[in-house]
Amino acid sequence: MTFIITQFMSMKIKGFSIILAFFQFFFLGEKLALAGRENFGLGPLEIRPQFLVNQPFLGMSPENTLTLKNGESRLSFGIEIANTFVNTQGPTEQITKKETARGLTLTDFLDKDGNTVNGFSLYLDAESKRKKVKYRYGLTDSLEFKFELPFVSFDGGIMDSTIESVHSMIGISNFKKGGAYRALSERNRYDYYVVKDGQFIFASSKQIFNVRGEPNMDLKWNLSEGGKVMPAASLKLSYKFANTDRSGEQKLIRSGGVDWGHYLILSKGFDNWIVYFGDGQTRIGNSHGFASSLFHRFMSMEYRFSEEDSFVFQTVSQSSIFPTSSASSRSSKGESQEQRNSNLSVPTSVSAFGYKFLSSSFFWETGIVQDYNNFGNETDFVFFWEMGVHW
Amino acid sequence: MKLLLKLSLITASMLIFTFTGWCNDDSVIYLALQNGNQDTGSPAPLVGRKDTYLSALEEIHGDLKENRDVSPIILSFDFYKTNGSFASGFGLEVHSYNKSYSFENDSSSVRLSAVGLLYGLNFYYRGDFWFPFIGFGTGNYSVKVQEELNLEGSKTFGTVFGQVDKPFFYKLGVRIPLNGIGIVLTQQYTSADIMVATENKPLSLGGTASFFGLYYTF
Repeated sequence: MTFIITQFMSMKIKGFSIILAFFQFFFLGEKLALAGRENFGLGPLEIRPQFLVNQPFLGMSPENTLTLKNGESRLSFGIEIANTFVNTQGPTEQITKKETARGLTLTDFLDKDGNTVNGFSLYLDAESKRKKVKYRYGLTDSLEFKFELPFVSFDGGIMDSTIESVHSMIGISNFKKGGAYRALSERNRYDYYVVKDGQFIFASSKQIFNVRGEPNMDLKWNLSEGGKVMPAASLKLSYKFANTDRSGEQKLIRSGGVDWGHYLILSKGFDNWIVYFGDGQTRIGNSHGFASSLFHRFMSMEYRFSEEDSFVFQTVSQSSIFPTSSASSRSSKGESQEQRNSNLSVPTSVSAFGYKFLSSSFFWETGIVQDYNNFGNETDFVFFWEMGVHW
Repeated sequence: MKLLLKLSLITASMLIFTFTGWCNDDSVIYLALQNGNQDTGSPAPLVGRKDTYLSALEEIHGDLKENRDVSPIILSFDFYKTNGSFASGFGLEVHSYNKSYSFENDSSSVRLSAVGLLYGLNFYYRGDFWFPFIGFGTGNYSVKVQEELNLEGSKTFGTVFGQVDKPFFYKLGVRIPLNGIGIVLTQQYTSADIMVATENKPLSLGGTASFFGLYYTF
């Protein structure tokens, strides 16, 4: 017994000492001389919500308070690869490999007693690849213009087996809620089904590649650089143009309406650390039965290794694209599907880690995003990457 | 013997890498683990309000057998920039707790599990032997509420997920440094009410809390 306790303590101490050693060396960086710009860093990770159902609408991304100077330009290209899997019929095993192979119908989305389910039901199994071309220009020393054009693909992807393996490795069963019932479905298959009150809103198993999305433009105004006590502050306004051509699968990428959004962003520097906080709202012009406005908030912590590169941790909260439904929240027959699906309309959060690099002429950013709430209204895992030139 | 050797090595490395004191303009990082008592039924003064979800169930199923206290585990990460006798900084905290409630009159029960990710600004005064601090901030709380209620002989079930996306907290406390590692005592007040859809009434996830823990300085 004593031997077991000693071994256990020894293992715990070893693990603890490794964590401490990691932090100790991680934070041994040289102090930076950022005189006069103490509240500016390289900025938060500029990653928008990647959930499939959010894709046609304006997605606000966190951003730096700092703007390009008058006449400066930055041209960049990026890709965001997101793996999404949601099966609201998973607990009752109503949608498995067999049903997806024959093609899903509305009867697959009835509850286990054959009744229509009030509210939303989902079967989403996809990998989205959102490529984007971005151009920024400094209109004045404190006013920046940005134009962004996305090209979106939805397919079966390649990440399913890796995600399932990671789940298994950390003790999450792919047959249960924690693993999103992934084991019931074929890997790397594409299906996109959204049902509301017993009717399909989206029903597609046809993969799409590089469909041009609706462009958006931003204006960012640096209101204040802050000081020793006050944070820097910027206001970002975003506008998404409408493309009314929503024929075929294009309706999964384009809303056909004009969307507006804003973010008020604050940043405060503490030597090598810069903290960012943003709060904003998006108003959706043509919601197609989804939420007509979204509230979002982010917090980023940037640790500057040097003047040119940083590590960023970020958390983003956003209200759900699914409005609150009329689903009953109590049942006399055990937990019902309507109850389970009510979590789709709850606000959710994701966390992100990433690395940023900026030299006088080159820009690079990469990172990952993980949904830690598993409410079914955010994408499971995102890998993103962006690089560009600056002149 | 092996364990003693490892303990000695770790203690030695902590002393070698230790924080050696406050200088005029420097930055400091703390990693802390805390635990304590949080009374979710005691609203945070000035910002909190009395919740009504559990009291509404009490009217039907009888008084709660348990009190409203929970014992969260808190892992926190803070960094500060010092300037003479004062320091300002930012902190990130992860709170996690579970609680089960039962009622006097029948076998109804409510289970609650909550995880909070809180962040905010902190301000320190540099004393000779202790560093008092105050702080405030926001973040989010995720919660799962599971009901199993007896109503006139039949059982009803309810599961509600939720997120409080605009909580507010403020705190005061003291850190007592002991050469690299140290003791932290915190009194924290949090307003974080989730609307439970089954009763359409608020349930407090915050309240008034006292925490005690250890920290390590980088």
